[in-house]
Amino acid sequence: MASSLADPSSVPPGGPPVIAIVDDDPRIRDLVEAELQDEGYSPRSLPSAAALVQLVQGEWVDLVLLDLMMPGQDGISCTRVLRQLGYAGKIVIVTALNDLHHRQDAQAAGANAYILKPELVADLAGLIRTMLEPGERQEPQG
Amino acid sequence: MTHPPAPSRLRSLRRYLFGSLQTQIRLAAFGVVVAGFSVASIGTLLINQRELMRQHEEKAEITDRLVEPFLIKLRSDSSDRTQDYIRWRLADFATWHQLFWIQEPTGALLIPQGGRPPLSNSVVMASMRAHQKNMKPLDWMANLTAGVANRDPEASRSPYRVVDINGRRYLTHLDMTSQTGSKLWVARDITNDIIFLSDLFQWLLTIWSVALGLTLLFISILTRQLLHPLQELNRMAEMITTESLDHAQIKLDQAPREVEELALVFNNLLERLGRSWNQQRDFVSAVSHELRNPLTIIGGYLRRLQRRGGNLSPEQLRALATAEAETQRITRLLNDLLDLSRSEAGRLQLLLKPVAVDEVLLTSCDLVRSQLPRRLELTLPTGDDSFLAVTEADRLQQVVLNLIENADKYSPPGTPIQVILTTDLPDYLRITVRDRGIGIPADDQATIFERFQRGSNAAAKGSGSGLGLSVVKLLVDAMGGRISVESQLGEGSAFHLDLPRPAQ
Repeated sequence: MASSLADPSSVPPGGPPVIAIVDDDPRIRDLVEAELQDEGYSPRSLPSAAALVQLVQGEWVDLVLLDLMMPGQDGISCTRVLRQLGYAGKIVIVTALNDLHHRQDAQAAGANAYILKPELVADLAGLIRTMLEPGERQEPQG
Repeated sequence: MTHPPAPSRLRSLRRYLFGSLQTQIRLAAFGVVVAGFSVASIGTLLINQRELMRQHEEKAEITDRLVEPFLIKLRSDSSDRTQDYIRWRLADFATWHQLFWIQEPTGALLIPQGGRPPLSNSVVMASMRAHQKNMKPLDWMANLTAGVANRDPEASRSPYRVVDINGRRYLTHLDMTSQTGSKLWVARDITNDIIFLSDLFQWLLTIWSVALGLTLLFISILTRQLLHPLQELNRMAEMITTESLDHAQIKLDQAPREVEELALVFNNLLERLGRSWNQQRDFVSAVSHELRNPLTIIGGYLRRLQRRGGNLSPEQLRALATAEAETQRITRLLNDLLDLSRSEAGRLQLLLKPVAVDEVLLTSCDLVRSQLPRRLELTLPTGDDSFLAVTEADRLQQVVLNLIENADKYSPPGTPIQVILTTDLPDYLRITVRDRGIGIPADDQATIFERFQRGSNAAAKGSGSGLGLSVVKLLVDAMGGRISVESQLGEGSAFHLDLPRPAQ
């Protein structure tokens, strides 16, 4: 299955970093997408985990902003699937729920950060800069 | 209208004494044993004593019949010879137990001579004296003997008296008055009877004590066995926490049916409690989801408008900034409420790890600085090292913002708030939030961290839920830190937040 994934090392993307926003709430998606566009990134707005898995298999993605609670597959199991597929980009779990167990599950599944929704939009640019810094690659954020 | 009776001291004493089932059973068994053995012992003593008296009466009656002819003879012939003869016969009738003497109508005493045992004059004198005056109190055993004898229906006899001569004890009475007026007195030596009765009593007491001890031991074992399942139930119930509520079940081995039924009721209760607990947890998730999503959207667009709105007037920009700041405040309040509700449910858990406290302080101060109508001064220690404490960054920010907001709420406009990080304590990093506000009365300083408690002088000053400091307290506790307050009325307050440094 990993072979079907766009290989990040062999396909270096040209142009701005690609950032996927996955949320079942279109209003959140619209807001984040607009912000990302304004910041000069190349956003991909997706309504579900399934759509994300499909996207990642066909296209280079630098960073995923992944909603935790979605109908169908939730953010944590989606993270697990992405890591199993060999996705090496950053994954940020975005949630309305500040819960230790979810936080630990997210980390165990391979997410790089876990943040609350209101904090996502409070400093989106800062978050993305931090996540895409080369030095930050190895150190998952709590 | 009926009122429940006020619990009196007597009631609480009774509750203390008889409140435990074990005590009740022990006391009941104790009572039954004591009562049963007491009745049996006293009964045995009385029956024995009555038997002794019956024998005594029987002998006295035989003697009466034997002696009466001599009394008549004495009346018709009171010569010395006759008297000597009668003395000799009386001595002959006497046994170890019964001694006789005759009181003539003139008052002269005819005391037997010789005989085995010889009747000493002192016994006679003491007996006669005892009958002339009221019986002096003697020991209870002798009184018991005399008392029962006194209930004899043959009223022609005098009451019994007990006299104590040379270590022996005599039961004495006027046994018979003959037609001639001579009186036959009897003294019965009851020393051995009393020794027998008292021996019997001691034996009964010994048996009684042993039986009581055995019964109590037996009852103790029995009640322990009986109550053990209940205690087991208690122990298991105590181990149930909110964490284990989902799969908590009481399992008892070899419990009596009644206790098993109780356990069943308990398990049903647990199951329902677990269900409602899950519902509450789901409710908290749902609420946080439902509220955080719109707050995200509102805050996001407000922010976006300010930054990219283009031709907005300064007034419009200010309005948007205020709205955004309020949105952030509601968000923080929501966080506080959710943490409180989690903590009540025993579900507040933090992911503790070393965090650079100086960075959290910088971020926190930057977040609120623009919204405060006053100066916010952050003082960090000098040096290039980062200052690490074991905590959770988000929750620490929540705590610091709550403390700043609290300081702001109770300070007059224009006065500064200081946030100071110090490293003087060996095991802790100290964050101090200092204001020049109204201060907290000394009496209130102990309760200021309790829920819905505000300083008694706080009412005059702005709004406040009284939640902020209680959230601070519970988060700091969860971090393993400590919080304290120093305050002077009218001078201001300083909250010290100590966070544990990571182990070296």
